[in-house]
Amino acid sequence: MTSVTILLVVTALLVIILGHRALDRTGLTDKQALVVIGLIWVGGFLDIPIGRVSVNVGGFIIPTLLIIYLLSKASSNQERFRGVLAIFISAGVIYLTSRIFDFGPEVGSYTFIDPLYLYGALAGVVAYLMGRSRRAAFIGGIGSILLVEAASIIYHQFTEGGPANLGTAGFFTGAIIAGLVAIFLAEVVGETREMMQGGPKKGDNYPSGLKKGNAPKEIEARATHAFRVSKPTLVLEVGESGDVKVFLEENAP
Amino acid sequence: MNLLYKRLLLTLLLTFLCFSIPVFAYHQNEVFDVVDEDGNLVTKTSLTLTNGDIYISANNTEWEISGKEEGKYIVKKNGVLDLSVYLTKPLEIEIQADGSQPVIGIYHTHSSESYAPGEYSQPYPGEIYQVGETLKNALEEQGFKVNWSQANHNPHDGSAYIRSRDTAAKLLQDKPIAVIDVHRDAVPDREFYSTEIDGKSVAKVRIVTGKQNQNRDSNFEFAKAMKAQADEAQPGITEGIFWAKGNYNQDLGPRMILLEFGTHVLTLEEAQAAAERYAEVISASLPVGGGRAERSAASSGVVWVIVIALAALGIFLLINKNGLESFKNFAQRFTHSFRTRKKTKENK
Repeated sequence: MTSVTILLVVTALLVIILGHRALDRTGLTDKQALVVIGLIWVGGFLDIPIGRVSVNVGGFIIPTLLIIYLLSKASSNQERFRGVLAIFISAGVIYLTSRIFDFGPEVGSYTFIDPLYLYGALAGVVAYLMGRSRRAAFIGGIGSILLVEAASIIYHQFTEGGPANLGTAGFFTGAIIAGLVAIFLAEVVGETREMMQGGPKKGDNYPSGLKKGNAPKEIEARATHAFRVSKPTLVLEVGESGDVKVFLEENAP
Repeated sequence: MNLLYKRLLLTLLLTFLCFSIPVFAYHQNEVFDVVDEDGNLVTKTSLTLTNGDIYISANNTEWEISGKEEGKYIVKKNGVLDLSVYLTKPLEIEIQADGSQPVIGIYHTHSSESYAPGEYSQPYPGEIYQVGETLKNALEEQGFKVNWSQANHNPHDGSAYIRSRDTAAKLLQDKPIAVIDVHRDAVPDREFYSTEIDGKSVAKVRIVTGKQNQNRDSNFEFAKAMKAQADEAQPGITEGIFWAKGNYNQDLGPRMILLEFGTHVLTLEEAQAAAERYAEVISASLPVGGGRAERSAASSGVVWVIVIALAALGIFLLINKNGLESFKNFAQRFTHSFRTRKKTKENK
């Protein structure tokens, strides 16, 4: 086997394994993750011409659909909102970075890290701070670069014209690499944090709504447990024998 | 929502902090002198260099960046290279011998680059496209099929390489033997970046190869082969070779090269004269005959990829759950299906 074939096989395997692991972290099932990878890979060979812009199926359309799907699968509107916000803030950060730094060889520029990885890392940090989740990091990483790239191409189509390529690098397009970097970073940061913290806190560590002290003082004093969902305030009474009674605030004995 | 605002604020604060540190160290459009230990000028560049980066000068001396003092990069001499080996021994390129015309790809990451006497930076298409077209025509005369992408990657900012990456990858689909990103430099010195060939003023060509990718060795080899051929056919035309930090999409394949045809204070005609001559150099440094190049190459690249993959896997496993214990867990999970299958067989 020549070195060429080995490099090709090793790279392909790595991309598939890393991509699969990354998608796994976003909450897709193993099968779904494999299908997405397959679609990105095969779609990488398909370009759809829109005007003078070649839009790649694997490098642009599938990742866009994936983000929409992941956002739609989010557990709450708040998570959805955070995901969209993460995309826009990361896109803003990446746009600002690209205005300040030039990574080419003609302008004194920071070359300590390739923009390909830097943008992924930036998006990963922003999205992680916003959503504290691997899924948010992935959505932010891919979404922000797709947004910045598409916006700049659309803008320059109107102002200057000329042919343009969007996502034609398929699996190796900037957005997908950024998504992988973002998720890897979120994994490293998240796992390290959890490891340093030594797992979940023990003791009286309920979500804020269930904590003591959140319900009116007089109910706190008399009830075994009291919590406020927002309104109404509920009183939870746990008896000696372990029986549980729940009352509305106004009906509490 | 309150929590969300807190996080938003934290994100913005951290982003501001991240920015404020490098911005202080950032100097736009600064040109640095690169000098030897005795203070003699070796070359000039706007490229931010780091210790260990290599520069091969016109006389084939290899210099290594060893520090920076008073805004000048200090280099130490590693020795003089004998590049004659590249004249007799062609580059090792895996080629599909299908008898087809060898392909070369050309693109322009910086779509606004232009030359004197006009604006140095012009709206798409900058004059750099005319240099690309000259190179394309000259390479076609040398017998290559040339895929010249006129894609627009404007604006000239830090995302230009992200956009041009899509173009470079698209050019690779036709299995080119080499892909050239055609640029012009920004060193404001006519004398330094031009030479006289056959009584005509011609721009010098600088070859830039990025070190931050797995194809760094094969790209550097290609650069040296071009330099060797240029020394034979067009002496004095190559300003030098940089092998420095950076990527410039060169991770996508071997012989992905960045050429600077002169600098902004030269004229378009001088740059085109260089492109016309350099086609001969590029052609001579590649193996003759037909066929398309294989997708990737070089055993050092394989080692590079495997080492990085193993390092990443190591970090991943170390920070997961129970530190080193996770290696054991991983191994157990890895062999789980094998063991259960064996058990089922035994049960039967």
